[in-house]
Amino acid sequence: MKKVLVAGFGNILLGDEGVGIHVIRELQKLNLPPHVEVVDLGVNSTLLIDIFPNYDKIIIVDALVLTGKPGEVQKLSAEELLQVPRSSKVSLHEIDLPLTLEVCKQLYGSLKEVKIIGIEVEADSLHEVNLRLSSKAESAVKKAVCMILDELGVVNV
Amino acid sequence: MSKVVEVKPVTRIEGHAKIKIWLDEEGNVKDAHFHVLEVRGFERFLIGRPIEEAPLIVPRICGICYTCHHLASAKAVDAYFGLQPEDLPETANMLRELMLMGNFIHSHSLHFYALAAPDFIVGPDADPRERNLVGVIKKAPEIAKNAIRLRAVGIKITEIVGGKAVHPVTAIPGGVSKGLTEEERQKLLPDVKWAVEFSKETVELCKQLIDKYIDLVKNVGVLRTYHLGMVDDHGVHQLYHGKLRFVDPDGNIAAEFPYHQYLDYIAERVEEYSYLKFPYFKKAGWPNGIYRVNTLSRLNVADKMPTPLAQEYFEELRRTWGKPIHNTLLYNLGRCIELLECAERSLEFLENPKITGSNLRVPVKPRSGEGIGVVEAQRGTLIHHYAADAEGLITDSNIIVATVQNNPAFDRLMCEESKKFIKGGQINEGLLNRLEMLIRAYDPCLSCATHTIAGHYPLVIEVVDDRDRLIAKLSNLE
Repeated sequence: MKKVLVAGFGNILLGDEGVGIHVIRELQKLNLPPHVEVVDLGVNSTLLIDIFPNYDKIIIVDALVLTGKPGEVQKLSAEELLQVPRSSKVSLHEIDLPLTLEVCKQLYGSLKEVKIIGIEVEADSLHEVNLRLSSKAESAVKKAVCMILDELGVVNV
Repeated sequence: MSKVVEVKPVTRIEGHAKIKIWLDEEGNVKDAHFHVLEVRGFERFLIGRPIEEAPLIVPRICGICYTCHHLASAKAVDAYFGLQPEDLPETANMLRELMLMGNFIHSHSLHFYALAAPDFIVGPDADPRERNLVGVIKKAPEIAKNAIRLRAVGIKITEIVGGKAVHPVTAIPGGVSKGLTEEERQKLLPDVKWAVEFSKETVELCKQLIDKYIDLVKNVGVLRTYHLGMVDDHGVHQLYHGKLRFVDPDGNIAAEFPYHQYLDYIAERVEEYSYLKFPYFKKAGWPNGIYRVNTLSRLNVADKMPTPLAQEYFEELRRTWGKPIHNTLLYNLGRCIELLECAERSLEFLENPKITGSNLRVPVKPRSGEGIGVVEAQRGTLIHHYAADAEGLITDSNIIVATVQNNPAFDRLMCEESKKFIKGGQINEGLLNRLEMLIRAYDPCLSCATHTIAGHYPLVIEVVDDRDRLIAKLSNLE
């Protein structure tokens, strides 16, 4: 059975910035099959470098600032994320996720089994300490959970 | 005077490094300020929470020094319960310190190999997109693989001792919740032995890079300030526990005190352009009392290192550069020497039979009062100060991070460096690179969430004239 990692990134102290972690917490309440591992990696995307080779497939969930439409949830391949020009602020802490992925690519050869579930957030709201999500982000969490379950090919949890 | 010199399109730079430079009427540099991400209210979210939860929440503040927040917080909680480290079981203190060593190994190696070294390994004139860890992997693959492995050793220590690789959880009131088994000790030993060897190579590599760029090291970012760090009763460099020591710009001990008295020695100043409060050494007043923390500052205040290999490099550093050392770029060498010390110290702990001891905590009882906990974080002295009521619910808190303590000195530094590049309103091209290099040497916390390892350090410089009108905006974003 393919081993799958669902890794969430985000800072839960900064409101919507932590939306990825909220998704992870929802997933952790579900009864997922044993080959799926769900992990809260906080703001440490570089931890991926060490655990990358342990999995056949990796799904990353995180906040993005990309389309300008807060609440939107989209699925990107890792390669698509790497095509986003560097000057685009992708997300507060995800500026280093593209580089982390490039490091993984350089070390391990391929990123084709890496998918990113990106939740669009409002950039200006991200600098005040806030333990709650905005209502747009809350709805986005539900959407993201569905997209991930879909990606995992899991039903009836 | 207020001609627009250059404006590059800048997309969404909120939350990244922003430097503002003020010019006087003649177009020469008058002042500079480095706006670190001014995230508001980290202390607020602790109010009303049970105090023993604080060590579990505060690691979320920073993706680099999460263990330091965990431990400073745990020490503050212990202090609230009337406990100092000497009241805790020896094994508990050892495990907490080992956890700290793991964090330092991880982050110091990451900083050196992913942030500081790429400029020099890949080349300072190379394409910025290659001046990062990926560039190092391509140009020096063996070094890069070892760097990644060294980081992983630090992470493994954190995971085994701290309970989680990401946010440690095992420091609890009165001790630790998890001991180290013999099996775990055996698992860590070979990795840590290797870590000592490769850390030594890292120091040597850093020294080579310094020799290669000696002019920059000697002339860039030299600023006379006080320095603050932690030492034990014999003046030996400490990271987990000790007293605090200030040295003056000539290297004389200006003050030495138990850290719970920090308010008698550190005052805070409010400046107009920022809501942040800037700490300074009270006795020397403002602005003479501006001080620095971080790796080299710690080495400046110490008399000795606690481990033999680090001690050799420490002595060599003093022989070569004197005491104290004010050169910004040497914070990188200080970082590598500390990296070696932390690897050696980890090995010492693992070879000590008490590390697998089973006496892990002492009992506690809630009471009304305060607690102060201080550790040295990678970037400098970290202070957690809580007040809680008789039920143990937090009523007030104050967290002083390293970066805010360095901010006044850093502003002065940038002011001085910018003068070399801006005269009569004319801005020399090298300004951006120079300020970028300075920032990297300090490794400021740009917010808990933006510790980038991208070689492309997102930075915006705004230059304003004597009437606060924007005359130039430079950026290293595309």
